Amino acid sequence: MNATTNQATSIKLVLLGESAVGKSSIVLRFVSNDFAENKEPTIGAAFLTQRVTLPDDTIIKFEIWDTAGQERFASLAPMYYRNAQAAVVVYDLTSPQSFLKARHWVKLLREQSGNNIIIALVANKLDLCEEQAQPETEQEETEPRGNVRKVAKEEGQKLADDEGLMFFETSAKTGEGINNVFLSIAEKIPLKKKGNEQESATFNGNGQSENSTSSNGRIDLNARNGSSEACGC
Amino acid sequence: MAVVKERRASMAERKPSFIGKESPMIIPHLAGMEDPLPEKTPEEVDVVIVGTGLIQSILAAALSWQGSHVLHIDKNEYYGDTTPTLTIEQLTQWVRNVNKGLIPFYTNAQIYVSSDKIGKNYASRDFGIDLVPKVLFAQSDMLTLLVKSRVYQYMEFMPLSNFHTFENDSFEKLTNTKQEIFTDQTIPLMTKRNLMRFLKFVLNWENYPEIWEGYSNKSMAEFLSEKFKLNQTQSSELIFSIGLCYNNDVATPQCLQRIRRYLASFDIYGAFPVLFSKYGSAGEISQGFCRSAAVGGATYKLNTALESYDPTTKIVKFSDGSKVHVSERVVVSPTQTPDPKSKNIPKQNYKIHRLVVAIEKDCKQWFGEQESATVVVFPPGSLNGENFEAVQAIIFGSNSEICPQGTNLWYLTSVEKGENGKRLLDLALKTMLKSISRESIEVDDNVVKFDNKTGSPVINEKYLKEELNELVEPKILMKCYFEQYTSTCPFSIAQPEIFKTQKKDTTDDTTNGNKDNGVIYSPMPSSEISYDGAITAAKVLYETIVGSDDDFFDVDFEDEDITTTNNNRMSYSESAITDDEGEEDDIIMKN
Amino acid sequence: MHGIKRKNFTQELIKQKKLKDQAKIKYYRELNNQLLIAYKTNHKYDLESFKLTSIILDLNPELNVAWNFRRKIILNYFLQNTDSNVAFDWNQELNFTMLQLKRYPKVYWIWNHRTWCLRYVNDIQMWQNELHLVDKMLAVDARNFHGWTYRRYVVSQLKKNEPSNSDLLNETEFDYTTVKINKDISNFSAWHQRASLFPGKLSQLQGYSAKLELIKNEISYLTNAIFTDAEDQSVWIYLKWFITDATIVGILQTGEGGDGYLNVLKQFEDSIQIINNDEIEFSGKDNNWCLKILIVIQTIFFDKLQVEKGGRTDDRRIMLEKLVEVDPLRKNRYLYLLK
Repeated sequence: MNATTNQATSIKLVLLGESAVGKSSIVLRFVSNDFAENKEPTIGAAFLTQRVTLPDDTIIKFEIWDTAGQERFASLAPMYYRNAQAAVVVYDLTSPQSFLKARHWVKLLREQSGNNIIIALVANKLDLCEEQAQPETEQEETEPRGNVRKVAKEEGQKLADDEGLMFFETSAKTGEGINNVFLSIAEKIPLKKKGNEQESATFNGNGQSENSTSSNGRIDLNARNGSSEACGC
Repeated sequence: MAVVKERRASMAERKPSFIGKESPMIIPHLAGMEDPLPEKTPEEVDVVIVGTGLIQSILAAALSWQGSHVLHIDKNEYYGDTTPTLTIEQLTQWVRNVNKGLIPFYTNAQIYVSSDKIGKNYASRDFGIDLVPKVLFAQSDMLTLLVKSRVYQYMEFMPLSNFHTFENDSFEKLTNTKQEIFTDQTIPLMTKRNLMRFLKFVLNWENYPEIWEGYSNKSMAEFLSEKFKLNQTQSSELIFSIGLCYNNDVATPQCLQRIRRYLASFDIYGAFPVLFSKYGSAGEISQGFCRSAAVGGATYKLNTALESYDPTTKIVKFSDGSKVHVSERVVVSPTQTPDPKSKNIPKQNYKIHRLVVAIEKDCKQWFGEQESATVVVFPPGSLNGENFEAVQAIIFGSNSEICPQGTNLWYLTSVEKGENGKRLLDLALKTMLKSISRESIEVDDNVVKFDNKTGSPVINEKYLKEELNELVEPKILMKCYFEQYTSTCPFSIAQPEIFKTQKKDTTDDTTNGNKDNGVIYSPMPSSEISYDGAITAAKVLYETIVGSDDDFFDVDFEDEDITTTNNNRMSYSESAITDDEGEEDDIIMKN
Repeated sequence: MHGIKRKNFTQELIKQKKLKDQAKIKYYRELNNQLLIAYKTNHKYDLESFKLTSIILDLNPELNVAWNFRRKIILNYFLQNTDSNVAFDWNQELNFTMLQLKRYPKVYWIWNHRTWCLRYVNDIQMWQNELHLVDKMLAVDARNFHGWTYRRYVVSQLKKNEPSNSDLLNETEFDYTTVKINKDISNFSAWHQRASLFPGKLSQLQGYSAKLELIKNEISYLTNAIFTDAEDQSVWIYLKWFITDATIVGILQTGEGGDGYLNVLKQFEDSIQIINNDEIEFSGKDNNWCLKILIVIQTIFFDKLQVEKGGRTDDRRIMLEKLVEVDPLRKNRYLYLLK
């Protein structure tokens, strides 16, 4: 009846990809079901959160980190990769250069985060392609279709297979495939993570006022103890 | 041939079959594994900041959010500059660079790394060593800014409740909370009254000038003994462990401020005054503010050094040959100056001695329950009467994530004048090592027997003595010592004056070939164990550039996540500020 | 030149926030209307209405009409229905209020609904859990007056349900006040609670010496308290009650050849004099509470116990005059006492 009684598992997910491949649009679409044409590069959103409820009612809360441009000159800080359980590497299927970069990011991710991180390779801007059946005859090939796709689906799939990634083709503009990316990642989160996270405040037996300290000792800086009202009744 | 833009075409693209083909391209298997092709640096910015240390990172973020376009560079391949968090390998390289003279204002760097442990049992990258270790007071401008700027969301914080003082050859844990004073049966009643009276006074000390003004020229120790009748031990604990002052010369108002900082920090997040961040202290916060700056629009370039700056053309040149035009100012960390011999760099007159040691031991008995760090203070005179300045130490356990399971990182700092600093730090280290070994002796059946007739315990003196003699000190995995110079006097904040001298004259003098005329040099880190002073220093720099600090971080981040609202379910909360905990933006996935 | 980029962005944010707020308010009003129609007009007690109350209470738990409606639905729909599909889960209902309380710990209506649930089920385990809950809330805010009142209520319900445990409950409640006072001496509610429990604790003890020992321990505890913090009124108020409470006085008077009570008073008088003199030495001023309590003690000496004036000095006049000066709000009272 009340979904909030379920406990959510928090997952840090990092985004990688060249600027202008549309990674921010993908997130925007996922988080608010919105899409803004020719949106200015992300300013302001340090990370966004969005919950996903799986068919079996478990809730995954994604904490999505955007690179904030620090990837442009290979200047991502260790803080960015730290404890990331999932990554979405995006390229623009009309830009081969962005695919090359995507390969590079995958390599970097494996270096920084090892093999435990779930990586989804995403080819974006599917809407720009007029998806037809594969050209069978030479005749069809010589007729220009205005097909702007420059990276074959097989290419992406191959990289995914070689590196153990999930692979998707999406359009942030139409929304096609976006939710599927995150749902698939959510489904892969190992079961052992579920149930570890507690949404409720925990209290320590020795009487400490600990509404701001969780059971593993971490402190939520936002949860300052209110000053007690001296009641002289 | 293929169209060449700014970059070299990749192998695949140079293949003739690529031209004019409209079907999807097949990309060679290994292409893209090389480093990505370089991006272009912006040509026009407002401010260039050189060095990604703590103060510069705060400044970068403040400027970015104010709307200035910032280009933030660092000649190293890591963030942090003078306040980085380094792996053992990086630290080793850093020591080499210091000794080659490549890093100004650092001297006498030495490092020992246990070759049969590091790289075998423990990996270099499992250690995160801060060149400037710090603790965060719950009531402080840094914490407030971390919350306001949302940078805290990038980090994890843990409590630190235990402070130890070394006196009379032993380490005493501080018991200075009101509760401890009240319940302690051994403290005489009048003493309780005196202590409590002082604690109450100090929380509000500015409002009682009649009590302390008479002592503004006398030492704090005199003030405490004459006015509040506190004894030497209590006084020493208050000044050096609670106030974290370095010596007795601290002025009374300053010391009161520092003591108050500790007490006022209690009970904000729990029964502890101080927090620390996991994965590193100042290094983490530097990264956090850099990220904030990036989100606000700043451009980041590591591995880039400042070549020169011409204040007449306002052109900045970088080591990779690129240049940029600056509309406002250039801020430079003294360690990344293009000319170490330049007279424009402010004098760095104070020396800080730092020692960091990784030991193969878990010092759990020193930490509070469920905690992983502690502060240890050696007041002046406590090290065989030889130290005039206090030695401050911070000990971290592996739950801080800066060292692996089964190890600890110990940081020791001294501001001793003259040449004794290193020796005193070694002495302090030895004292702590002895103590930690002693405390972990297993008192087993050989040491304590029970008398057959009376049943009372009998200690086998001889056996105990043998055990003590065989004390094995914990193994040292890594030990690093260095000296850092700073212009900030111990427990004072960076003075605005040092920036003012750089503002005018040098701008006009272009004939003498200086590479750094017209730049503003930022301060070197201070010896302060807390983050106090860092934001003040950033504000002074900010004001120098912008004209005033009125709009320093004057941004409302509350509704930053404007994209998280979902039209289906909204949350009406009293504060009208939605945070994701209250949001019910579930996406119910259907199969 | 500076800040153009950011300011535009900020303006945009403000605009968006305004739009968001307007949308929120409109949405809430719609829900409210829906609720009133379902409740007052249609008396629609069913699952759909129940969910509606959940949604609107999540937004605004102070909407009492929604709580009323919710209770009516529970009584008329869930509990009337023998169909197992609509069985009512009280624990889940308590969880619902718990979530609200975490966000709004002081909203009366939530507590009200919670106690309604507890009373309806009246299960002792639930009341014990409730005591744990109050523990936690008082851990967060030890001076929350509502917390203490609620605590007393919960304890009384527990006693009602299990009268044999009454004594044990008194013990633990008394010890609880000790814990709270140790943490923070100036916890008025804790001292107040202590005073209400002390007589009970005393009467539970058998025999004179046991009772005397309890009283002596309390005297130590109190003395410790006035030395540690002589500024806090809660301690002095408790002290005043303690030295004038008939039962306590009675027990003291039967000891030490009839002088037990007198000796205790003298002890306190000495301590308080030391404290007051110390205060004068430090700040030049008296501690008003010291003066007030000394007056109380001396009144007992001279007026009630008829102690010979030769042995002890009667400073009441001087002290009252001092008080008139430094505590003008109560001037009339002191002047009255001077007569």
